[in-house]
Amino acid sequence: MTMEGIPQYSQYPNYPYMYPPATAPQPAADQPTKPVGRPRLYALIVGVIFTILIVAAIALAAYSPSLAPTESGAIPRGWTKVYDANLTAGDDGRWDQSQGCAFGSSGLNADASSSSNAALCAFKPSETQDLASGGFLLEMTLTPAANITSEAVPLIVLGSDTSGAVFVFADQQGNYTICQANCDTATRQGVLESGSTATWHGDPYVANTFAVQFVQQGLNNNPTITLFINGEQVAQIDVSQAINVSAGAAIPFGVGSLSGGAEVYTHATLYTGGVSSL
Amino acid sequence: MYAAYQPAAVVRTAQAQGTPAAAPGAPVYPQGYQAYQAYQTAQTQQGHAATPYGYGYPYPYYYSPYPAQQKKPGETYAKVLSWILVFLCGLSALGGLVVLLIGIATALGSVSALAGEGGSLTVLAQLAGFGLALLLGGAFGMYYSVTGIMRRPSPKFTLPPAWVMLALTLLALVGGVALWHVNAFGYTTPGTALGVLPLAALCGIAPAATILAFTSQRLGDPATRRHVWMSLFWGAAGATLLAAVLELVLGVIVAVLMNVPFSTALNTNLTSGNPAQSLFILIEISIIAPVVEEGLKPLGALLIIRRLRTPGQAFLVGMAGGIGFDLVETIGYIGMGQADWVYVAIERIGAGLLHGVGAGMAALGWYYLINGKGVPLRWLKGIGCGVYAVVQHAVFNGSNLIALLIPGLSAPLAQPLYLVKLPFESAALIFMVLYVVILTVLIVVTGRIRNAKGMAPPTPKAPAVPTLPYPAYLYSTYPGYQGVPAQTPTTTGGSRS
Repeated sequence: MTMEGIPQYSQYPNYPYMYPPATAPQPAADQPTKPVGRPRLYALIVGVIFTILIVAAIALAAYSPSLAPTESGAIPRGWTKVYDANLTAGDDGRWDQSQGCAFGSSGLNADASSSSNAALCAFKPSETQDLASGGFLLEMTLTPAANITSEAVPLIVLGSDTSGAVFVFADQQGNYTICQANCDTATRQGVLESGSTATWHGDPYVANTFAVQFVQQGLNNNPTITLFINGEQVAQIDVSQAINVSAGAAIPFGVGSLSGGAEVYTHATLYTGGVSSL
Repeated sequence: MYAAYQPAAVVRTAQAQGTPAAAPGAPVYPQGYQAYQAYQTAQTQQGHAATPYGYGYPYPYYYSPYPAQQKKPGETYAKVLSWILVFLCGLSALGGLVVLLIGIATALGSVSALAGEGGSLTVLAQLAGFGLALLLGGAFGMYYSVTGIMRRPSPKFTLPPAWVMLALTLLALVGGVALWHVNAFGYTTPGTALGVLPLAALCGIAPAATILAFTSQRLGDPATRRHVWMSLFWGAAGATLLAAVLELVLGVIVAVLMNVPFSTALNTNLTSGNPAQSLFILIEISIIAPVVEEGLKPLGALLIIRRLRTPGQAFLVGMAGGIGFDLVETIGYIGMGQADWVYVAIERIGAGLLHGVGAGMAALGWYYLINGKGVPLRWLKGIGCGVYAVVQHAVFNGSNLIALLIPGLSAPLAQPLYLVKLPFESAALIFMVLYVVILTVLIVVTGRIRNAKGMAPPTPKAPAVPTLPYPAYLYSTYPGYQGVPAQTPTTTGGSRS
């Protein structure tokens, strides 16, 4: 190193030692200027892992519906479809419209959005016939949430003042609740079961189906309710503490909406093991 | 002969640490000189008295008063920071493990695992996203902190080519859309939460990874794995947690000041049509959220900003924080779609741009403010970048209220759009337009900073010329020993942006 104006000491070319330019050694661990490892191999491995993960995830997602209990598999042999109605076609005389329900062009409208009471549309045949003792499955198709101006709250009610009642309802996010009469969701008093389900269509433009199956001798040989949403089993509970079933007595059921909410039902299907026709 | 001035052991050490070659013209400047053993041994063998430097020269060699060890700039700070990080990352990993266990217990408690009754994708996605961020962030954080303390070099951060990541993104989304249609046409039920969770999560991760790969490659892969991953996990675990707490607290304070019911602070659904509530929500999502989030996301980059040498590094490391934040947030949002998670995934395909570019710009701003000495318009650039990040976020969030702000738009925006049979809200078009705008900003900014050379690294104080213990004339008898000429420290670094 020869520095201008400074004599060179021939035997020690490094003399005079100059301060290095004030460039501090780069912190070794922080500067990727020197290739360390094999970046391309690393990128390749990341790419391959990503690909495998995505393909495996697609396969798992495609396979998972076949692992869950479904509504169609829950209908026993011997049950018959006794009612299958397009509710957008108008009033067929099967639904009680005296407690906040009305038929319209969009279907059976249960509107309790500005009421302090729930809107209830009883299924009239269930008030006069024993549809429950042989078991039944009621499936209701809901209008997409975007078609409802207030909070969409589908509700299926089973029972009466004398027998006790079970309420099954959900909100727009797919949170469902099963509770007995006069339950309080805030304090969870009377709530039999609640949860949320991945089977709920959260897209406001997609319709959901909401179905309840009742059998007299289900879990522990007790009256049992099973909730299906979009064809997939969501919950199954023993409701013996909430409802009193006596042989031969009719247990009415119906649909509706909770106070502050509304729902429009576009299609209804009823399977039952007790009767072959209404 | 003069090999002794660069002891082999020291040179090896420097190489082992991956230290780049010294700047042109600058000799390797080993830290901590050892005795000149080669000379010492030779002189001793020749019968000379063993002196420290073997010359028989009775005076202390010039280097003797020079400090034996000179710490590199910021070394102590980095070490302390690394140890703190080891501790915090350990806590994070434990916390993540607890969250994941809670998630598993929740899943197993209400559903029979994979084959069982539904389960909530909303709950599982949030627990999985946040739990994995804590667990992986903690584990990787500990690893990188310890390797940092050991001064092991960190390789370049690289990802597969952006087009490959884009193809994988499309593969995941097309798979999700196809499965949705299979369900919509009634061939299958929607599937269990645990069954669809991996695909739903990957549909949130893949677009974000594409954006990160695109940016890194456009900038020439300027940063290390350690910096990028640490910043990403900070954004995913730390920033999300703090943002949730801060936004809630600030929201409640504003609600109290505005005399809006407390419950409104917890519920940002636009259902009431109440002007006071709308104003409150506008403040919450367009002021509080952007300021809090754009302040927190780049903190990972800010902590190490002095070690980031180029604007490109700062931008990429900052963006990683935003991408981490986006991953947890987007996976949570996707879960809320439940059976229709794929439409949320498509609507949020560019959320990584929003959070990533925002955090990158904020980090770039901090870079100019802290490292930008000598940069023209430094303060303007620094503050401008930060303001851009907040405004971008505010505009994006505020677009949610556009139907309320512009009468007449609500009806058209209520009409669905369809991807085959999969319906979307028309408002998603606004998001797509904003994504394109942000992508344009990303391309322009990375184009401007990718060739910008970095700031000069911190200038160490030149060691003081030692006081000569003997009269100068005595030194002058030794011709090779000249007084050290005064030098003005020079800097390198080239052009600045």
